[in-house]
Amino acid sequence: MTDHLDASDARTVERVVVVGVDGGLHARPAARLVEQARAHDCELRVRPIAGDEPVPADSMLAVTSLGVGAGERIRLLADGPEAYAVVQAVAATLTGGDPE
Amino acid sequence: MTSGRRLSGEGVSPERARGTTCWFATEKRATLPGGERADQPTGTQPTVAAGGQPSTGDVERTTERARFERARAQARAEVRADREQLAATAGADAAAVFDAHAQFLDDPELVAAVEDALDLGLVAEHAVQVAVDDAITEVGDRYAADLQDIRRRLLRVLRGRDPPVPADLPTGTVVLAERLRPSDTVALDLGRIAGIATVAGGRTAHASIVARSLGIPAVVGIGESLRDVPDGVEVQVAGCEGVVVVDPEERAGTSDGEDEAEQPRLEPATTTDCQAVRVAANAGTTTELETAAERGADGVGLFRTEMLFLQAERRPTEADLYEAYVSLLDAFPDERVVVRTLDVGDDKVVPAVRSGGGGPLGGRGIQLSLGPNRDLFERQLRALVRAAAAPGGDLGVMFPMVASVEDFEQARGVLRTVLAELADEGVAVDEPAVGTMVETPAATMVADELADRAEFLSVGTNDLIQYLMAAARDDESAADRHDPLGPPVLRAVDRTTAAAERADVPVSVCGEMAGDPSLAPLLLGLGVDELSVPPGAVQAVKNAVATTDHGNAAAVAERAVDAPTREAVAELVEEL
Repeated sequence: MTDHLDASDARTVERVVVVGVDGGLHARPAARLVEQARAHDCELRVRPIAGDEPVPADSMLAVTSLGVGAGERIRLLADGPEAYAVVQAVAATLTGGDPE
Repeated sequence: MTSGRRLSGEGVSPERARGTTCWFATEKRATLPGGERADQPTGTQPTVAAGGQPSTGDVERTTERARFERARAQARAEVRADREQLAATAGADAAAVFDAHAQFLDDPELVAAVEDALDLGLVAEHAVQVAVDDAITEVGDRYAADLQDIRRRLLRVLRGRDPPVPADLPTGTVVLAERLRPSDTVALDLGRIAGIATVAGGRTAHASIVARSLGIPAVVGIGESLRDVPDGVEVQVAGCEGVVVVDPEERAGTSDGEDEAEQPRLEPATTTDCQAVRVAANAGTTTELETAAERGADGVGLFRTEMLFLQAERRPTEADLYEAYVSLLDAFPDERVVVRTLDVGDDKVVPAVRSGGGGPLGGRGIQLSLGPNRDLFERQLRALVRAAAAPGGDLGVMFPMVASVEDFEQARGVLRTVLAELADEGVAVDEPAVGTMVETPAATMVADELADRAEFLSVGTNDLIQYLMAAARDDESAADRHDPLGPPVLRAVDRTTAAAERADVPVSVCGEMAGDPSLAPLLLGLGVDELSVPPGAVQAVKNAVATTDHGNAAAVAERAVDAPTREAVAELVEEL
């Protein structure tokens, strides 16, 4: 993954996202989030702003157990070579900007 | 089973259809001899494998792990195939649920939980049960149906069974089910289904999403009462109202409306494409109000006040009028009731009231109320604004024979002056909704301007036709000119409904035209929101509304407005 290193390749990225998709983090965006987390070379965790412990984003069970509704904020915590890319992709999914 | 029994649930797709019931029973098929019911309680303690012998040997463990991995691979392939199939029939949104299933199948926590259970010596089937039970506890109700579906699939594959073959349902089947899980919808020939009704589930349940994307009428979450409905009976599924009617013959929308006294439609009627249409009553006496309430009128669209003046030997006092209006509101505590201010003149001669020069052009309606009968008009308005402040009810006031913006503004000006005076005196008053009649050709010419100022419009077709066609309404020799299907009449109504739509105010029709069930589709197509009809016609008109396809009616009405002759209009209306 060293060929990916460039200016935006911070190893640790954090970002707060407001869930904009209708109905919150329901089956479709949750599945997409997990798919994106698995497709990138890094560890992504998700933590509701009001919640306590971050949960692994590559687990559908963990992500859906958060019960995040529309309009709620969650914090994305990524660690790894593709941290920046995964946060960008997941943020697009959660804000409804992901065309897929 | 009583005919016409109504079961209420949550309507999830705005359609309505009839069909013959058939229970969908995958639950039974999924329960194999010796197999475990998905809903059977299972502990997390290590239990013994089949045959009562602990399965703790390394060989068995390896075998069970391999069985689980093979089952998971096959389940994953099936989920992918189901996704494609559902995407093809119901669209990508409905199919996306299987993306979630795929992610659940590959969930590291879930897989680890199964492996832990296998390590404790459980057989694969039991390990899956235990792990999925724990997962359901973790994620809660929202995904319980999905996880149960995944468990059912894994157990079926572990038992070496093929996926259920789509049942051979006849076209027009209404599928009844406990709930429809994602894999169930793949096992149904969705194109043949007339409707769906379920015991459990809500708006966001998978069946609801599929029904919405395919336009299948569906009512979910009906509860226990649905279980009493057997296979093979006729039901109507009204997705708009959230109601399933069992054996709907007696209250069929197609009945001719003569024999509906047994079970009147009390709720507002909706068109087949789920547009709610109010069918209100025209009334002027207490008896008419009582009949209107019994017949299920959605309020009063036209309350004539002339009777109050005719019945009294003297001019009614403000107190008389107030009492009359309060009892009017009491008759329909939850609905809008609209009082038309005094309309004397023409054929309505009231001894105690100055009535203009007589005949259709002798001065009437608001013309007299703003002129020689101003004192009576003010008295009436004082009683009305006081009644509007009475608890309950939703009062509207409209002015008759308005022919200009000035007419309307002056009349409303008087109402506001009266309101301010009474408020100053410390009397409890409230401003009612203020609308206008559209019953002079002049009013249709300034319909846009009136619609910008009034809170609602009400088309009085009887007078409108008389003045448009220059044919007195009591002149029998001119009867053929009193034709609601004449292009001038349709165009005048169309101008008014278009103005109301532009200004976003409701428009009602309260003439005889509204009370003719055969004309209801045309009026709805023209954009009328409410039909106000004689009390005896309420049910017949509601039935006519319920069988109207609003979209189709609008298309036909658009052509009817452009038709050159009465015959051409009548031909188009035949289609409705």
